[in-house]
Amino acid sequence: MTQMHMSDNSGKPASPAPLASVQAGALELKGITKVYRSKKGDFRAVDDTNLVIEPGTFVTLLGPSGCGKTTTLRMIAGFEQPTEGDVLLDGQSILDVTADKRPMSMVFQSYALFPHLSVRGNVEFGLKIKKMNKEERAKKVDQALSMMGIEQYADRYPHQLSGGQQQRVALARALVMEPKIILFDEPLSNLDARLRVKMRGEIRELQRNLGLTAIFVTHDQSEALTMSDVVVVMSAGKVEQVGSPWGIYHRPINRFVASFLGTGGFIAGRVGKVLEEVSADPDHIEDGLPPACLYRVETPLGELDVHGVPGIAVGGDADVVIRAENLMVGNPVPGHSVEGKVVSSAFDGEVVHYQVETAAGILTGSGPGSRVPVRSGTTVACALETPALWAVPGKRNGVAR
Amino acid sequence: MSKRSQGKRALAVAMAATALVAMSGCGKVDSSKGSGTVSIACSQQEDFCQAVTKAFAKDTGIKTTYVRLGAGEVLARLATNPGEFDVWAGGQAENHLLADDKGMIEHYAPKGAGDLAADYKDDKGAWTGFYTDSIAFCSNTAELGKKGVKPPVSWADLLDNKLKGAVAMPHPATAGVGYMAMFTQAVLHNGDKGAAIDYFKQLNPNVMQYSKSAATGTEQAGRGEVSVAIALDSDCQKAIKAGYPDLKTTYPTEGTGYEVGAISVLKGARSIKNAKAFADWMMTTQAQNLYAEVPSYAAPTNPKAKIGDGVPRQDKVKKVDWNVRQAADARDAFIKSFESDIASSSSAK
Amino acid sequence: MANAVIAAVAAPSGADGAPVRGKDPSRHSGSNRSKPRESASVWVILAGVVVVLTLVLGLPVVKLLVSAFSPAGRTAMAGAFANHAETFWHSIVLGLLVGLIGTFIGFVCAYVETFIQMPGKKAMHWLTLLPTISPPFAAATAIITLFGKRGMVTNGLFGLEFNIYGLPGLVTVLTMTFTPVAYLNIKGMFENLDPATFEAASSLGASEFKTLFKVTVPMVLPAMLSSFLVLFVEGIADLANPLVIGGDYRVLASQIYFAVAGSGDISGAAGVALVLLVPALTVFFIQKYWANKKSVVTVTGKPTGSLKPVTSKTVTVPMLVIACLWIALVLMVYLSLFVGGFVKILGVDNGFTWEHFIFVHRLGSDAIGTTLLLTLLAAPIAALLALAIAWLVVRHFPRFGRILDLWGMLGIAIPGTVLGLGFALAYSESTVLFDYEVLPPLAGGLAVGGGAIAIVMVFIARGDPTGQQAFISALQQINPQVEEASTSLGASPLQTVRKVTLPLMSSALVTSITYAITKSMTTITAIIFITTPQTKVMTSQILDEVDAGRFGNAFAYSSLLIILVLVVLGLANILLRQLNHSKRS
Repeated sequence: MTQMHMSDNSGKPASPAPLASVQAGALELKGITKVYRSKKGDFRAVDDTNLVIEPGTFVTLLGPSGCGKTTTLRMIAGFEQPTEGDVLLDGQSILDVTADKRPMSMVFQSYALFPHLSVRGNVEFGLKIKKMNKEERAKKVDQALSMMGIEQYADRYPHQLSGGQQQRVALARALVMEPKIILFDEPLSNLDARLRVKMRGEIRELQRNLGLTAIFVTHDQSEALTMSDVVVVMSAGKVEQVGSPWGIYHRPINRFVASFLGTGGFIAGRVGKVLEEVSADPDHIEDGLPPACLYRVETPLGELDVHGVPGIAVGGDADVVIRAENLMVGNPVPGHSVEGKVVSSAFDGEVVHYQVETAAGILTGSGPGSRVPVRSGTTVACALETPALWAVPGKRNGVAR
Repeated sequence: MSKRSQGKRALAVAMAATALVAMSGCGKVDSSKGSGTVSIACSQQEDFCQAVTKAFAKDTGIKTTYVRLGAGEVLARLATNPGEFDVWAGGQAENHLLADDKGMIEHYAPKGAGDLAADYKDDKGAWTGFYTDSIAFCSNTAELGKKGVKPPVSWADLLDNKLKGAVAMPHPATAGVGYMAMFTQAVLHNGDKGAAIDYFKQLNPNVMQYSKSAATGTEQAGRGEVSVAIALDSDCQKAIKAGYPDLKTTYPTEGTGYEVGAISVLKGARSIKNAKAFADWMMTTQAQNLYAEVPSYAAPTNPKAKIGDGVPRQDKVKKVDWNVRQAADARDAFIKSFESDIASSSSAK
Repeated sequence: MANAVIAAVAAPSGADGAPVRGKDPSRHSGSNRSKPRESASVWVILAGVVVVLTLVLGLPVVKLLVSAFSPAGRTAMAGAFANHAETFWHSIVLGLLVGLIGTFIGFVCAYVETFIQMPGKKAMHWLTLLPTISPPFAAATAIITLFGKRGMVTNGLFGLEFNIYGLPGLVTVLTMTFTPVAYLNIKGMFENLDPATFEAASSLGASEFKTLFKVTVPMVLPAMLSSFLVLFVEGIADLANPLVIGGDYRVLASQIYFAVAGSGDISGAAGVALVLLVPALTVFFIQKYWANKKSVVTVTGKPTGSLKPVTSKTVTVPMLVIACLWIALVLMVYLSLFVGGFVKILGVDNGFTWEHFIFVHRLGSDAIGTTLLLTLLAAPIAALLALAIAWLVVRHFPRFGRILDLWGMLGIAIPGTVLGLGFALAYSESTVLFDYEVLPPLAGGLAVGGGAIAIVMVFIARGDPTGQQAFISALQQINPQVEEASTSLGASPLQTVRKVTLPLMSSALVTSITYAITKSMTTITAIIFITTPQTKVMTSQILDEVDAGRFGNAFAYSSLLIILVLVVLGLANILLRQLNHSKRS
């Protein structure tokens, strides 16, 4: 089965990635389903999910709480057993491999450091279990500690460390195991905002340098967008969309994905005409961009020519996604002009967020922070950046959510 | 039983034995060999039991263990755990007879039994007496003085209202003396058991606590927790000597019951030889001299044995006509009615 | 980077429009998650636990029930209601009084210890605990000497002739013996309370007096309930004290004793035992149900800040008065116990003597060795059993585990007298299953090991529950992610327990071992039916001395036992600390 290659006995000079001498793993989920049975009925936490993760990629499972992303991760780790389906590592099923025998390490939301062990004790824990000899162990631990920049805390206990330091210990502890896959369960949610942003970059860089396969669970869209090669959007136990961060943001496959990412709203409309069948983007298909059609959609704001999910028939309902950054308030530039009354505004430094009442209802818009915010009650001209808009099957189509 | 299960059993036995007994050295494991041990149910006071077993072990080299149990307790244990003991030493002869009725006793007349008076042994060898003493009233004179009561000299004196909650009586179910007192009443009423029960019903308000053992009452009286204890004269004497100078032994003028403390060899003994050796030894002058040495204040039955200082002179006590057979036969019914008619009603106080 | 290929998203988006279906699954990923495939070691441990529980708390109970429902047993049961209805109510009243008073005093002492600042708290703590490490009836003898009709205090000091025999004496002795259980229980809960709760109450304008009744008491109610349960059961189960100080207050426990000891009527005793078992189990289940429902307590495990001392005189004065009176009583009882061992007859002839200790030395050296040996065998097994049950219950079989939990708790819920009788019934003969002799006789003088095995088994049954509770609550406070982290780092379930879980529960481990040791060394009611000539236990010999009225010997013996318990506990603690230390290095 999966084999751990012990490394560093070749005596080669330290590579830039001294710890990642193990081949990154490829993972495949085949129709995995997790059903929790209770007296009140069955609950499908994860429903027939398929996913292929290539070696060395950073994949994020993104979704609201309760969407099944953590359950999926725990099934990969071996803490949960799928009710149906299979988990394959490098082409081989690992369902019969218990969690402790899977060549994966997990970084937990709570860090889950061992409070009774020092930093060093924590990091060398897994190596001791592996019965690695003392010398080699010390070497590896030192490497891991210095990589995370926490050598000076080696003899401290977890309760003597700050949240960020604890996070680094947790990372070092997982990395030192040289896992084929490293799993992250919302590891940044307990950090303050500034540190969170910093750690995002560090984790991403480590993963890239070490060439690890990483699976990262989060409900924070900006974590998902900034860190990932691939984002998997999940909802209610199902995968809604898989794609590159740019792809899922700009080409959401349905209302759910559209509403989960970014801020903004929808305007309901009807497809008047299909202007272009499929504008496949062969150059970009590898970046996870789904194909698109160009529609003319009749909306309360007039006819809009927008790209959208293929397959909406003429006369069919289409909802046009309008993100705040695509509705520019009081800043008429060439584009589709819309008149609206400012309901409220909130200054946020570089931008000002507006709620604007338009013919299509209240929409979220934005204006540059450098200008004095428009007062509430003022009627202003706004501009819709139509090339950036995106149509998804409408609510009443019964196709999307 | 199949061979396999026997093998399993042997394994379990061996494992358990190594785990526990080998380490503690406190148990007897091998029941077939049996040359070295004897296990005694001892219905005597603890210090006497100890002195006897120690002396016997020293004399014979036989490892001797004992449990101190009241006569009633021994009867119960013999019924539930037959074979647990090899010899029963102490306790009224009638209790031994009861055990004999249930086929628990190996008839054996120890060497030296021939020297004993006829009252002190059973014709068939079911039991052989090795000490004797009588029921007496063990009074705390200081306590009685405060109540203005003289030391009782009659069973009726115990019913005095002034003694409410001030009398100690052993529980007939567990202590032989308790039952002896009941049977004595029956004898005094010409065998009328109802009258005997009535007496104890009347006595009940005066009884503070029915104690598990016979000796409890004398100590309670000594400390003044009660004023009078229905007890053996030997126990009362022992308490006096132990440091309760206020205690005084009196006897009922209408006559009192007495016990012949007996020894018997039990059926199913793991070593019948050792059991008989112990019974023989208990009859020797040397063994019976221990009464004077310990000291216990019962009178030895061996006429050659020393009678220690202060041992109540049994020949001076007025005794009722005691029929061991009848006393044995009546026990069950008496104890049942005691349980249901007397002890469960807490009319006292 | 361009290799990042998403190969498949097979799952078609569902057709239904609800944004989120079902309930919050985080609920499921918590304690309730199902784990269909446990590793082999878990199943092995489960099997081991079930076997041990069957032996110590299964077979004896079943045999008891069978015997109780035999014709003789049914007659006795009917008799217990008809002839001895009064006896039955006596037991209930005794249990209730001991439960209520003991829980109350335990609460007061815990409150004083936790919330009131004063010197000598440490000493007070140990004095409160003193009674746990002595055989229950040792206090009875001292109380008779102090407060009996000719008691040194009641009669000697005040010239009263107070009748301590009966209910007053029983309640005093049993309360004294078992209050420490309530004290520890409630104190433990106090320590886990979030101090912010009290600050909140105070900032909402509640006085300290009001806070006591509206916040403090309700929050530790579960601890008080479980204390009440333990005290109630111990109260109705105890048979040694009714024999010593019961006077004419007859209770069921001693009735069972007289049935067995006097008449050898085991079926009858089993019938009466069942009558005793019913109220005990009723209270037990009510408590379990209630505690589950009312688990409002904020046991965070990591309180922020520390509890602020209470200073309001309306609260502190009554609390201190009660606590100090109680401590004075305990002190007096145990002082007289220790002194009593060195004088001829305490209160009658106070001359110094060694004779009691010489007597104990002659009589007891065997019993001391045996008691120690059996304790040292039983305590680690009891602690291990408790740990295994807790681990299975909390981590592996949350649903089925509840049954295991209840089963283990029977060790304390079943009155000792009843349990002991069950053992005598179950193991006096060999255990036969489908015509195969599974076990040779374990109880009685003829048994393997001279009956010692049965006694060890009783010790295990009685020693398990407290540790089990301690381990369960400790485990529940350990974030499961910590253990998963260990698994994720390659540790097998057993390695995880050894290297992570157990070190994090060192205080529960100490509690567990401590209780198992003290229970084993001081128990009498549960083993009175199964002591044998070959296996003498100190407590039963002390009871004999008490019973024979030789208080001096009993005092000396009890003092010795107390010191022995302390020594064993001390050594065990040192050993545990060592173990923990070596693990940290």
